[in-house]
This record gives sequence, structure tokens and C-alpha cells, in this order.
Amino acid sequence: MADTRPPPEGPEIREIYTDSLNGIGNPAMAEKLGAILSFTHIGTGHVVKFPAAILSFTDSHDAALSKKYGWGSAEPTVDMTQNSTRKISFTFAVASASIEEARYNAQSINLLICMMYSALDARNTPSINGSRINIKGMNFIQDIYGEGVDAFITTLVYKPDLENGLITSKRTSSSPEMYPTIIKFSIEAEVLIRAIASAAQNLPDSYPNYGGSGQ
Amino acid sequence: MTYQYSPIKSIGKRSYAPLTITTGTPADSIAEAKYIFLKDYSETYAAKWDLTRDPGALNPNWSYGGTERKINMSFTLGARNVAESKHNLAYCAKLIKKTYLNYLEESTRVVGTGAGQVGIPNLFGVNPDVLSVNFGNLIQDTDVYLTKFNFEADFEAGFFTYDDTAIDNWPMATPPPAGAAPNPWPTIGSRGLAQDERWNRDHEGHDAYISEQGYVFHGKKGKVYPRSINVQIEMHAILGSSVTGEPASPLGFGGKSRGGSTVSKGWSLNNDRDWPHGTGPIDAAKYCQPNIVAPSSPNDDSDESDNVGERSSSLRSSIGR
Repeated sequence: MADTRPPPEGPEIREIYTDSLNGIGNPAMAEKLGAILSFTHIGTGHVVKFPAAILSFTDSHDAALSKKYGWGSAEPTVDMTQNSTRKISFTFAVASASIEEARYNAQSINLLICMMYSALDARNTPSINGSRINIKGMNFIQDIYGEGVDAFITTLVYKPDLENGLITSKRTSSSPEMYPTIIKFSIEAEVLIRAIASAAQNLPDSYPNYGGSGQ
Repeated sequence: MTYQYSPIKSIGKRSYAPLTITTGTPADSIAEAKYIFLKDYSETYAAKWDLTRDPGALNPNWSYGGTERKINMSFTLGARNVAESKHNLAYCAKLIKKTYLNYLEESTRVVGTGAGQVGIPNLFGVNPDVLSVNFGNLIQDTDVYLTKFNFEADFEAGFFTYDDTAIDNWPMATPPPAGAAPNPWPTIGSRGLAQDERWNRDHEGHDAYISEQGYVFHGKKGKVYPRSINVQIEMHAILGSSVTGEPASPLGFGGKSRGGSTVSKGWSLNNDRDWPHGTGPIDAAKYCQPNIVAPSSPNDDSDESDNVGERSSSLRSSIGR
């Protein structure tokens, strides 16, 4: 009997787990509130979504100044702002309430981790997009158009919360299964800023787009 | 599997995965399978981006330089008796050596300055051993370099100590087993020596001469054996697996192992196995499924999901695990 599964040519779109607890679980609540955290791998179009159980979020905007020091001057002269960078870091948790949900989440988590790698060409050379990922997370992580931000994730940490225990299988196969009930992810990324210069040569009023009044 | 207190071993067998660390070939197991008390676990994926900015530019010019994977684990090795404590110490010693290079060359190094310079013998090493690690579905036969090993004896938990209390009736505490010589024991000795002797005759845990819980003193003067050891290890994962024979080809989507197709979005390992974490009996995620259609065995009458579920286990059993 031949394996008739089709070759995996299309992008994988992994939605959040929806079968839990008859609509009262964490994913169901996330669906209801629209609290979804979405990651899209630029090189392949693979998408994975999680309930946005965000535990911490920092958005850091740093200006690097070009300075000149001269003899006799009390302080350096600032010539210009060399560059500004935007870095985001956030932590979110993925929780599972059953072995089925844990297995589903494990595959979603695997895809997120795989996104930390590049698309490869026929010679195994990484694509120019590398592991660039578009991240969208409610009104904190979005660009001025309300879409996700393109991010260079420099660090992704997978850290099970072991105090909340593991979900184990009944050992139906000889390969033991252990799924942490709660897994925390810490992500640090530098983001690309999508903006078109206006006549005033400034970033639009909607940047950064936290969804504040008037934005 | 190394000796471990039998209740822990039996609970582990039912529900948990042992930590198995080998040098890659099954015959050369440097640290056999062991059930550990996991305290902390993390994996770090660090993508190397070179982000440079032209003066005044809003966005950087970028260049991707690969992604590295590190695994950190902290766990406790508990000991219920002297024998288990000794095994734990040996286990740690075996692994600690793997954080060092293989020192195969002897030469000299120069110390001091000027006329005071002297050459003293020194060892020079080459690459450390590559280890293969398996820990259930969390670490699936992954080749690593062991980059850190912290050994910490838990002093609050205490130690198994030497005991020279003279006893003369210890052979009578448990009668010799049927068929044994009438009095195979010395008639007088120390409690520690007696327990060592009984344990050695028992060949670890047969419970005929001494129970597993009863072996709590030893006869080696000047030695202490910790009841609990806290271990922290850091591993740097490398490409390929010496256990599964997975080639050391780059990780990513598409690539050579996907037939060199530039449009393939499949995971480069192309082995019908979820990566990095296993997911039990369910089918591998779509992008991990193979794009080379191969006929399955004519004798395979199991359904597909079971078949997929046994992927890794059959692989391990084929190499003797």
C-alpha cells in the first residue's frame, strides 16, 4: 500500500486549538476576544497562531547619536541622529488542558521554532529573508496599517513551566510522551519599520500603532 | 540501564522518559538511561543577524548567518542508598569529562620570563566528543557538545556516611537464603562493612540479604556519598544525528533533501518526523511529511496513525535501544 499523502508544497496554516472544553477554555476565550498572536515566516508563508496569553511586553526605541568631542568644549556636539532602532521583547505562554491539545500545541510550537530557520535553495543556501518573521499581536504588535511587524527574531527561548507539571500519555507507544502543561516563550526581536515618508519627512502620526486615541 | 532505586525506576517506566546520553554508538554508552527529577529546562534558538545601518537610514541592511540551538537542563539525582549515590557520582564523572577536549598530545608550555623561563609538560587536546541525547519527545536523538556541567552536592539533604559501629549479630538479622552455606558471613565487623558486603552479595537489589532502603552506611573510612546531587547541564546542538543516521545537512525549509526544489516548503529533514519535539502517535505536521512517496512494507497492516507513532521507537529499537 503506497503512501498517498500529497507532497507538502503549500504553506502550513496552523490556527489555535479549538476543540478544548466546549468553548470555555483558553483558546476559546482567545478566539472570542480576538486575542491571537500570529507568526508568519516570510520565506515560506507558513503561519502559526497562539492564544495571546502575553505575560510581558517591552517596545524599546533607541537613538544612536553621532557625537563630536572637541578640546575645550564642556560636552560633545551632536551632529545628527545616526540611526534609531526599534526592538520588541515579549513573553507569552502556551497552555494545554488535554493530551490532544498538548500534541496539537506541540506541533504549533515546533512550527514556530522551525521558523527560526531559513528557507533553503537547491544548494542549501539560506534565502535572503533568512528567518525573518512577521508578528501580529493585537494592538501592541502591529504596524501603522494594522498588520504585523516584520521582525528579525534574534532569540527565542522555549521554557516549560515545570511547576505546573507535565501531561504524559498512557504509554501507548514505546516512545514516551511528556508535554509541559504550560510553556513560556521569550522573544527578542528588532523590527523593520514600514512607513512612507510624508511631506513633513516624519513618521506618520499612527507610528507606533498601539491603537491609542486618534490612531 | 544504570542501577536506580526500584520504585523510581518502575514509576519512570510507566510514565516518564529516561535521559539517555551516549557517544553515538549504542555499544559505547557513556551514561546510561536514567530517570531524573527535572527541575528546569529551556531551549534557546538564536538567529545570527548582521544588521547594519547606513547613516540616517530608517531600516537596516540585513544578512542572516544561521541559527544555533542550545539546551539547558537542571535536574536532581536522588539516592536512596549508598549504591545509588555511588552510581550517581560515577554518572556525573563520566559526563563531566565530556566538557573537556580529548587530550591526546603531550607537549610543553613555557612559564616565567627571561632567564627564568622553563618549559613544563602540558597536554593539548582536540575536539570534544559528540554526544547523542534522548529525552522522550523533548530531545529526540540530538547530537550535542556538552558545554557546561555544574555539579552541586545538596548538603541539606545529607550524606551516606561511614559507620564503624561494631556489630556481632548482623549475620543473624536476615537468615542466609535457602541452599547457602550455613554461615557465609564473618562473625564480627562494622555496620558499614557489613552493609557493603550484604549489598555486594545481593547483586544490587535482590533484597535477600539487605533491602534497598537498608543500605545506608558504608565501610569506606573518609568517604561520604551525597543523598542528592543538583546538576545543571548546557548543550550546544549540532546538525545531524549519529544515532538515527540523519545527515548533517542544514536545517530549514526546502533545500537539497527536499529534492532541491526551491518551491518546497517542507522541513529539510524530510523524514516524516516532527522536529524538534516529538508528538506521539499523531501524524507528523504537514510540512514535516515527506515529499518522496515511498511504498510501505507489504506486511504492514497497522493503521497509519499507529504506524507513524512508532517511527522513533522502531528506529531506536533497530539500533538497540
